[in-house]
Amino acid sequence: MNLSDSRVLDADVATVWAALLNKDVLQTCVPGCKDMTGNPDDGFDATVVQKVGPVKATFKGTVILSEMKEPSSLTLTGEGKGGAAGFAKGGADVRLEPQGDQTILHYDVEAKVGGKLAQLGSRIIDGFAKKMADQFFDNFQQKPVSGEVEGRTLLVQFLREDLHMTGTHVGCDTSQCGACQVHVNGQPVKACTMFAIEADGAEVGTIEGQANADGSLNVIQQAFQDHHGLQCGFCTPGMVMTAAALLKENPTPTEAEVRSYLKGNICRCTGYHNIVKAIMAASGQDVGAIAAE
Amino acid sequence: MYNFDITRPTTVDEAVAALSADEAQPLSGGQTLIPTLKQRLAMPSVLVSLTAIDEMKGITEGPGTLKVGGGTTHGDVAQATKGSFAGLHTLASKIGDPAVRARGTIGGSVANNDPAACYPSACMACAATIHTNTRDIAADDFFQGMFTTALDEGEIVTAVTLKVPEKSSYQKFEQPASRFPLVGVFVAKHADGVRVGVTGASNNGVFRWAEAEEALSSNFSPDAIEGLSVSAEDLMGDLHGSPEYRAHLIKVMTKRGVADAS
Amino acid sequence: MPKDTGIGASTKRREDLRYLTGKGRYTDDIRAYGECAAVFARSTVANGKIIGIDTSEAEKMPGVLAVFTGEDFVDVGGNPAGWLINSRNGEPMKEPKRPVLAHGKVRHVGDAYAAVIAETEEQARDAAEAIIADIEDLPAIVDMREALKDEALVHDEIGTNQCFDWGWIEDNRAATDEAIKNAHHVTTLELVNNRLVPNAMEPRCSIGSYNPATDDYVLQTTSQNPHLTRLLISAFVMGIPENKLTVIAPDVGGGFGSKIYHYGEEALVLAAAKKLGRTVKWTADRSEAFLTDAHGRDHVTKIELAMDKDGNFLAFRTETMANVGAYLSNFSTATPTFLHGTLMAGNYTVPLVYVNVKTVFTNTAPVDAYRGAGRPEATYSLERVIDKAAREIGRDPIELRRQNFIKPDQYPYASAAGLEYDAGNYDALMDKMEEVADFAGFDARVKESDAKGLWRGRGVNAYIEACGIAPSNLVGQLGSRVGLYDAATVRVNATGNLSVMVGAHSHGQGHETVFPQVVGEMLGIDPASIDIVHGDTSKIPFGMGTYGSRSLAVCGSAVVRATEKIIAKAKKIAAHMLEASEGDIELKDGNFTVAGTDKSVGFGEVALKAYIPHNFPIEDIEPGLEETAFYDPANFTYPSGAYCCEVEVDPETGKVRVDRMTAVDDFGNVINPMIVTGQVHGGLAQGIGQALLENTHYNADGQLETASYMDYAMPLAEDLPMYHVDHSQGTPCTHNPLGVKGCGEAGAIGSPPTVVNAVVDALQRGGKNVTHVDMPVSPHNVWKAMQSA
Repeated sequence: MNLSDSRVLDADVATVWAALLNKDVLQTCVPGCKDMTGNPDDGFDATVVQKVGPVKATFKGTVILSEMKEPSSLTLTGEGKGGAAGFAKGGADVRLEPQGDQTILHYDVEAKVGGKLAQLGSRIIDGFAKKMADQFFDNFQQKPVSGEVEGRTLLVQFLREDLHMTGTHVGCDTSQCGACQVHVNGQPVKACTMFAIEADGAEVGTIEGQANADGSLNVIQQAFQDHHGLQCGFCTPGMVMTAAALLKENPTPTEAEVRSYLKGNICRCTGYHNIVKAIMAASGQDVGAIAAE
Repeated sequence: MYNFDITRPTTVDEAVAALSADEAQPLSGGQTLIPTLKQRLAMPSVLVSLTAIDEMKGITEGPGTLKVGGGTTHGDVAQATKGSFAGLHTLASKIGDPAVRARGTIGGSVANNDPAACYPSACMACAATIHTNTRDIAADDFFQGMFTTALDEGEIVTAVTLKVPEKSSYQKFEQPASRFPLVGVFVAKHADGVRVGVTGASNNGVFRWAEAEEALSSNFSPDAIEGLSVSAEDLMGDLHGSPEYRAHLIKVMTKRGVADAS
Repeated sequence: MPKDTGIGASTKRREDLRYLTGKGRYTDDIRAYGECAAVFARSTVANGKIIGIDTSEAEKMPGVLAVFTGEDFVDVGGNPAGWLINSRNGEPMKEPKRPVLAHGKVRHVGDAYAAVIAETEEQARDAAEAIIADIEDLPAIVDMREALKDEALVHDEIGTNQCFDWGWIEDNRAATDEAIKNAHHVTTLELVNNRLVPNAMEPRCSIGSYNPATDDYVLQTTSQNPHLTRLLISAFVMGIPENKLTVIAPDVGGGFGSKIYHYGEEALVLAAAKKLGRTVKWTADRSEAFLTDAHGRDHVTKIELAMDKDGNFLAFRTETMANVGAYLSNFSTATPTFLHGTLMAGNYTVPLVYVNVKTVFTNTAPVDAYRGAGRPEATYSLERVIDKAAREIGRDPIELRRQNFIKPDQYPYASAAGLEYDAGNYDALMDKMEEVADFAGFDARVKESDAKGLWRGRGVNAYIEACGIAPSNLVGQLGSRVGLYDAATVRVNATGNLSVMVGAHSHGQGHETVFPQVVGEMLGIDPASIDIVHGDTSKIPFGMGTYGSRSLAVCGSAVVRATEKIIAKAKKIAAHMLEASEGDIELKDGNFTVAGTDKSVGFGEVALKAYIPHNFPIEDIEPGLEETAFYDPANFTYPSGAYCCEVEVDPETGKVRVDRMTAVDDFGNVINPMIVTGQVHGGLAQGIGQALLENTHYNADGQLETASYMDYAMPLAEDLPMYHVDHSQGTPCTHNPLGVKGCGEAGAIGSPPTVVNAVVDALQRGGKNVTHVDMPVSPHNVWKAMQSA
């Protein structure tokens, strides 16, 4: 089967190209990838766990980059063997087209599936291949884009200026307002008070990655909307990221615990009432009693 | 920021070597240094990040002691001392905010010796030993006044060993804006006597309140210091509190610390 | 069942979707091809004579494209004050020029004397440091009393530091003096209304671009009112024709007044864009915000209240010094005068009011309107002195207020301070407040606090404010140089959805949700098919922006009027389509029906017909369906309220904690209760912040000591309680079509005196004879007050 699609990426062509060649980026984008080694010149070896209907198998395979025309096109080919489950192989021709500050990534995917996988029926094969390809490029679109940074580049500058992810804001110079709050390896961190280079190899989470896979608001975001936990919206990304860190640490915080955890996040609009209420509601607590109007 | 390079050594030895460069400066959690750099108030040629040095991280219990790696974050200290070391747990879990605690380290705090930093008071009250790449220094000798320590150029705080008290408490009265201590008092009752470390208050940085220590060593109760008073001389005065107010708060916080100690 | 949409429904905000996902587009998020950066060189001294500025080294630095100094703007205009105020003796106010970049003198720390444009911001910063400024340091003029001695001058050319000496109502002066002289009891209070920094979380940012082929300028900027900014730049500062300048305010991260005004940085990026043919961006950091955003409040006041033996109020008299800083910001002369003096009768039947305000130039940042603007100053003075008076004559503070309230049957009521209040019911608000604040449980809470070693106190307040500014006719008489109406265009597209262009700017207020609720209800269609367009002078007919709690009362009224015109025209079209008489057409649930029949056409069909006018009575009706209305209100609107605060004071440390905060407000009719409640919450936090935490301190050298969050205490989540907010006691505004009043500033107006009254009450209950503590009621200030009590 063949399928074609395109994605708009929030980065310039050079950045996208570099990301396509980056092992760490590929590893986080290949659905189910547990491990990846190698380099762009010699190809990558990958271990991928996949579940298709009743079949769940570990595939060991390779990913090869060829036909490289920097920075505009290349071909990705992969082949994996999943033992009894069969094999899957496929390729994607990828073409990058600049559009202002952004990049349009076009891809044509061809996939072949054999063995038990194929016997599940063409309906599933096609769906599976499409899903795999879509997931890969979805991940690639949203997730990690890497680049080179100057030593003095702060993480927030890297996010805003190099990756064009402007959801993370700058509200002060003294590391107190929290408008720049992100997650680094799951912990809350002020992106204005950390050098980008120190995030090398770390997983950085920002507001852009908080929504559900289908684009709908996640539980915390939805609670902020439901309870009017934002007005001008400027501190909001930091608030949401802090709330996420809190609820991970403490799934059902008290009002006092929420307020204390927000010590590094200043909001000038809401008076905090509805932010506290939203966070407690997101934790599944009944907020009617604690926040009488 | 002015321009500079950053290196990320992975061992103490590499870090020490990197710090021998002209105008090199160590970077720990960066919660003080980075805002300073942003204001162009520091101009290093190279920043030597200590955050990738695994040997400087972690907490180990010894006989009656707790050794905290210099690169251990406040968050990790708070976690590790929960239920076992009340004063230090309170102190670490109330520094700054969650994001500051995720990055800031004990080594950075004691090496910087901000007169309103929390950790130095614990070091004084818990008879800490400051370990560096070259030597061990007693807390009483290490802190030498506002932003001044016994550290030599290029010397790194690799760990801090605190004597674990029988009972302890940290009482912080916050400055209303920065939320740093306007006065912070660490009360520690050890088998061989009581030590009281005071931060935030003095022009000379952290200090021990000797009269209170003496009184509390014979009678560990808030009443024991009722008759004492702290001299306002040489205490800090600013928009948020006069020397007299800080002197008053030292006594109030000490009494509360004694009452609260566990 | 509460409604989901339409008037009165707590519709969830549609703008939240972009803010919550990182897709808001604030000015600094915008990046243009070939963009370069502007950085300003700013004075480090408060008062200095510019001997010379040597930019030669800076110009040679890497990446530098241009360097500007005050010399480059000598021939262009200045940034004007929007209101001309006359002194008591009839002389017009002193109005020194406010240049784009300082020329001749620098007048406050942060005053910009040069600007560098470079490829990158860091390069521009490096070059700005290389500018050699020879500035002779002169003594700083900081204290207002000292300034009024005129021993040294902020502006040499005007010969005095007093901008004006204003009396209100001057004709009542003698009678007021007489009443106070003869009164049974006079209560006097001297107080300071502390200086505040607005601190919108988004720092200011401006991007200028220029197209030499068309001579068109575009300014993208953090503004609460792009049209006013365009007008000021065009008519006063740079002379760019209005039709050649587009001002766009995209998503704006809060304003609170500080983004009403035009600032020199906006003119600079436009001038630089023209000179370089490049897009030029400047983004403030927080330090610059502290140094250069217009500050708020900063009054020193003496107030006297005269009463007869029964506690009836006879007169209020105040003397105020109001700091305007180094230059007159756009609204700076209106704030301490007509937004302040006219409210000095409060909710009371007092017959005489006399207000004297001396405005003073100092070597500090300009001071202008900040959330509430003048009305918090009036309310604070009145409600503190009434509390003190009640204590002095042994009366319950609520009963004393009730005794002097204007009663519901007295409206319209001409206040002694010159306003005509249209509607209100202050006793009903007070009754509701006593219920919501749980007066019944107070004694038990006092005991609980006692058990913890804390002193509990309760403070109350009744306020009235004038907002929804304002009738152009009235403000014109009062000295305003602009009109204060607003405008809206309702465009029905051919396919039946709507774009509504509004002059109000939304930066947190939720206009994108609320205005469609109104239009949707009027037309009987789904608000989801209606979009609001705001913040772009090229798309909107005109507008006076968002401040003074005016968006819904003024711009919302324009939206209603424009929608009424749409309905009228649509009925004509429907009548034609249904072959009926226009008078027989009724609009209900989005359908036009011939009365008494089942003949009807839908709104969408009418829209389509308007744009595809085959078989259209072209002689009677133009094609298309788009209408514009300008609305100029007949009066201010007068929200009022009753507030209550309970605090706990720690007698050992002086620390105050707000335990309960109740706000019962009369906002007239409410369109979206969720948003109104949110506005009150925000105002309360700012009011509590002013009362307990925030203070702006210049030292004797004019250095700002509170120039970051290390020393300027912002209210945090843990400083504040859950609030109790009620607006069930609304008395609809009588003169606008929605019957609405303004809700944006109420919380910040009503809460500061409530908190301070509560603190004084707590200290009194604790046995300390403290009658006043100046704001911020910080632990240190409370401790000092207790020491001397």
